[in-house]
Amino acid sequence: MAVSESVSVLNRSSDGLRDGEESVAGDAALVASLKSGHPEAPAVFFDSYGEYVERLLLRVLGPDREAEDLLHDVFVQAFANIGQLRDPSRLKAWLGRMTVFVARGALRRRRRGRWLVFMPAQELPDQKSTSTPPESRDLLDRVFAVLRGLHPNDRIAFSLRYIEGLTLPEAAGAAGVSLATFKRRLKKSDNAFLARAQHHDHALYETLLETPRWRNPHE
Amino acid sequence: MNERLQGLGAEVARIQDEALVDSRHRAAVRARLLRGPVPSAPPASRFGRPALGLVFASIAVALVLAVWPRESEVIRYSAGERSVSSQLDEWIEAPNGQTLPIVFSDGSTVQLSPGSRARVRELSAVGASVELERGEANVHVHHASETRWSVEAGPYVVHVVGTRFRVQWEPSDEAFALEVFEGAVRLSEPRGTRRVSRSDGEVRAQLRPTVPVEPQPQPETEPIIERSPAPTPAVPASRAAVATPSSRGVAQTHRTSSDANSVSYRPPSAPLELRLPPKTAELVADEPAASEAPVVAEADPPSTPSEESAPVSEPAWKELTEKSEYEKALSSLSPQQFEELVWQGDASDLVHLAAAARRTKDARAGYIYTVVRSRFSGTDNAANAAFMLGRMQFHAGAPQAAAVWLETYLRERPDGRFAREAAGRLVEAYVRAEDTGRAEAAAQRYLARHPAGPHAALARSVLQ
Repeated sequence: MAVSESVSVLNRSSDGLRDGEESVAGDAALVASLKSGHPEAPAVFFDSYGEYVERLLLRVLGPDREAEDLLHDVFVQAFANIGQLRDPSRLKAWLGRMTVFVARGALRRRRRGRWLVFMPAQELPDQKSTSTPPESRDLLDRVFAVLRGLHPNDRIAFSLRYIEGLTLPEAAGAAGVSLATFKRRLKKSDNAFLARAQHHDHALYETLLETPRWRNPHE
Repeated sequence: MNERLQGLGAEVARIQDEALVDSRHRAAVRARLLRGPVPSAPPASRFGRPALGLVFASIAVALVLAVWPRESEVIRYSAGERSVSSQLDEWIEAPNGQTLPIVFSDGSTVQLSPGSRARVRELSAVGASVELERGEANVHVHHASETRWSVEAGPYVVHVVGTRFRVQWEPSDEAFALEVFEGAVRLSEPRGTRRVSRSDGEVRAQLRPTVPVEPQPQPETEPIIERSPAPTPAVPASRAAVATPSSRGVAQTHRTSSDANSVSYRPPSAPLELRLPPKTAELVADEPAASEAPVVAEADPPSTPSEESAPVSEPAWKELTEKSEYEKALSSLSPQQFEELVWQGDASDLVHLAAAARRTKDARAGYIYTVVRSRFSGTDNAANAAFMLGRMQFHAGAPQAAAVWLETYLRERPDGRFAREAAGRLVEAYVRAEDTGRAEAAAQRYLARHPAGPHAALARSVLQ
């Protein structure tokens, strides 16, 4: 692969480019606009952070038939509570925490629902992406099938740390718990994930143990 | 094993990211979200954080002393014949022709009228939060030394300490009613918060206007932003359009439904409409010839003002930008003026302002371009803003985000003025992001269309 050579070509060709001239911040102004009730601020807010929230929901819940509703819920809550955000520079973190909160609510609701309905909500068919290759979809299905057996808090810890790839402090912040608590949950989620994989999807467990394919890319 | 799990997680994320490229769900939610009434921000607390902390600390100490040594117990409830429970978010519906009482262990009751539907959203040791989805509820909250009770009905929230009242909510016509029989409550509504007591009688509010709104001609095709102010029979002159229920209601009748991505939201009642020029200036029309040399600012404003887009009296900031005194231009605007300009100015104003911000490395440049994308959705200016955002993200060291914006530009303007540079920068972005597959695909596309372009060497090196 010629990526490394390309990087050097790029570096040569773009000397002088990296003047750090701009960054897309503007969160303070956006928050001020939302608080003051600018008519188009909600649209800008959604355009700026809609994908981020959708991604975070996807990380925690996997392909989900309620995804649209939950994305909607997060923004409704954000609009309703934006007045409580004191530090606009924390907008993204604040929204992330709200997203995790909504996702946790959905997970808890389903967990409770298992005992109340004939067909467990977790077994309802999830939203399938037609663009995802079958083998990739299979991996997603199997990973999230194992994750469904975890306690919502542990599942969130797993998703934020391993799938979204947040650092421990970031993930603890998003989960709304202390670093120590998050570490405890993560350890619990590790053990629970492996134990469930071993019992319910041995192939996944074996692959996880033996295949170098899933080594940490940052190693 | 920890590393293996991280590797597995990274693989899952990669697969999920491919699904995220499909933005249809997002577009649907966007349309839904902006069509309905957006809950307004509650007023900021009058207390500072330290003072609030002291208040909470005092309450906590008082609570501990009050219940010591026994632990405080979360309130439980029973609904009709159901057994006592602490279940949250379970819908409770009163059958037709019959009321249904929800009895709480703190002595409070919520009596649902026939056909009404509600659920308990939250339970604590000092209160509960009940959401009334539709119908009517007669509420009696037992007063205690520390009580935190609330009833939500649509966008309205009734905060209670101890009182008796009736609340009604009909989502079909967004009609809300509240009548306090004893004591007082605090009502949070889209307009703000107020105290309601028995002496106020019945409080009624409706989000949607009751008067019929005249049908708009060709609502599916005409972008809202370019309309002249429409007749707004039930709209107050308040500027806070987001927080004005009636204006929201009218706005719904003006929304197009054909394409959520191509329509920007603007309640026609907003007074700022009056200042909008009859047409929006297209950024590219005033641009100097674009260069694809990476350091050239292709979308900078012209050195001479455009006669057509100039207002009657040229604002000081604009004159300063024409003299290339960008910092002075930006500092001549107070924060409030800046906000007004961003939200009320025409496209030409915003393009000038964004270019000034970009040249002075002012972080607000990205904000302005984002607003352009929203306010002038579907226009060349919006597409060009995507290109500029892509460039900015690239320079800010975020090649993946840059690629998203550049792809957006190329999707919206495949033959646009900046198409060649966008295609080239896309190759750069993917290379920097070390996204081999996409870098190769972008390089192939670039060479197919621009074999002699300035990024051709880079594209070939990617494919070697």
